Amino acid sequence: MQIYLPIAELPVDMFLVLGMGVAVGFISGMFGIGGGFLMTPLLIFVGIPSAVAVATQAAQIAASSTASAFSYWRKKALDGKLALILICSGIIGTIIGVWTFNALRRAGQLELSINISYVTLMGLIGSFMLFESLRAMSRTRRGRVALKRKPGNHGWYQKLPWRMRFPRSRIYVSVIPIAVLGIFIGFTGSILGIGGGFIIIPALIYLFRVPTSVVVGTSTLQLLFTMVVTTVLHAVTNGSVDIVLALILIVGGVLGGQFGARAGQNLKGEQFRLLLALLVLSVGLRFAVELVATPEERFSIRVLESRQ
Amino acid sequence: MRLRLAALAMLALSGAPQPARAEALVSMLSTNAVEITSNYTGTEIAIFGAIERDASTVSRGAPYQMVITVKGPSVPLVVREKEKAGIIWMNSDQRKFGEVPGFYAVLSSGPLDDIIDPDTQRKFQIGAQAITSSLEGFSDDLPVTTEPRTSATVFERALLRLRREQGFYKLDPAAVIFERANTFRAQVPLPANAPLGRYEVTAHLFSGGVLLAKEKSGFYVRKIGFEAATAAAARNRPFLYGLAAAGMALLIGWLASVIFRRD
Repeated sequence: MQIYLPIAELPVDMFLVLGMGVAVGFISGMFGIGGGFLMTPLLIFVGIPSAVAVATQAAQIAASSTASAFSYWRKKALDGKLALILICSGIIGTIIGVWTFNALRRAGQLELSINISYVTLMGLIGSFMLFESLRAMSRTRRGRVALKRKPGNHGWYQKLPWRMRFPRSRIYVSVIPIAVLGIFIGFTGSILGIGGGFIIIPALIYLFRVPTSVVVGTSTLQLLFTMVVTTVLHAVTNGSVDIVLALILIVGGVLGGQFGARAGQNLKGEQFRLLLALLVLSVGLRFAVELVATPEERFSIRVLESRQ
Repeated sequence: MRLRLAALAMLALSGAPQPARAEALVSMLSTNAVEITSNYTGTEIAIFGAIERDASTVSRGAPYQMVITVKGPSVPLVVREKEKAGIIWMNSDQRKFGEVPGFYAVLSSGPLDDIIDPDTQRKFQIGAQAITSSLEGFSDDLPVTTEPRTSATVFERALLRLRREQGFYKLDPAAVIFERANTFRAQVPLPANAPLGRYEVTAHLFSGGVLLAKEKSGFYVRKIGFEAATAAAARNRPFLYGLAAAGMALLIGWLASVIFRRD
């Protein structure tokens, strides 16, 4: 069934978009990530203008993270204090990111820098996670117990000033590296049109040794706030939030998210990390192929947005 | 359709007696406004017309030929070309086209070059000239020229080719059909993502390569109802619109967490 999108100004197949929402919602519910890095390319692939795709899926991520944030909240599987610091520093990063975004667009190489950032970021994070989870799995198979958290084993960045206790995460670390992480997430998020879940989750797990059970809920809460702000910012600055597209994606996303969350609970920690690593790596690979492969069509046309 | 044709025939017949001059054209569109609602997937515009002549009109040696142009609102475009830099492909060169018709169709009752010569095409801005003045033809097999590969022609050709592939530019030499000797009709498909705004339809009557009459009409493509209200809200009240979108997201997310609650 075709439905006309009032802001994107083209009709799309409603069930196709709904299905995309369910699929991405499933994955994001499973891993506690926003799924923006999957949804944005999918939307562009079905013909949605990239500005509309980036702006609209922010609303969808807001919805699916609300749904999961509530259930993590009830299970007390999130760290509000940690999330608050990430959110506040994230806003600073977002402002810097929006400024950089506009500068890159003026230089005319936005698309290229986005692709290269995707490849680099996803290649690095994906490979690291893949390597780590495979090592953990082989260790368990050899009968040894997976490495437990050693309370005294802190990285130098955790011992910086302004140390703070996070009882839920059972960590005692400096605020500075957490704020830096928040700024980085906000920065990359606003440039790449992603929530940054796939960065924040490994960072919290490996850099700050936050228990996996708390990580996903905390990341979800952070995503929720960031994406609400992002949706409003996109609506105000470029008017490309398509509310009809958003509604279809949201309905699909929350449905898929519920099933994804159930599937995610049955995964063991190492399996979880292995699957997330493979997902991140394959999306990164897709962007790499796009950069290197000879394009079928060397020319591209873009309608310039007429600014009123 | 029959009614409209009958009305046109009446118009043609009841025309006031005129001195022995050239023919006059009467044309009509199937709609004056294409209204976009939620189930819009593109449309087709029909053009009907009659050639008015009376007893004193001179008889023509050559048959009548019609050329109808449909020109959409102008849009600013940029055409980019990818080139290999090292191992990656990147946009290396681009050309901006400030005002290019967002939709352009040339409908005729025969091959354009058989009806009028290239000079006349240029004079009346029929064919590719209406899009980019420096291009020679609207055909796929452009003449092999010895001129250097200037970026201008390369980008213009890419523009015409891509826009044709996407259905925004159309050259249909069989679109105009003469129902009788003096009445004709034509149809032009409008893709769903054709730009919104005013479309100009110009009907030209030729005989033996000479323009006998010309008539202009037009139609609008616009959103109505919910689609129009949504677009207006996004444009005029962006902050409230953004809050509404975010609010909708939060509400549905909360509802989902209540409905699917498992504890």
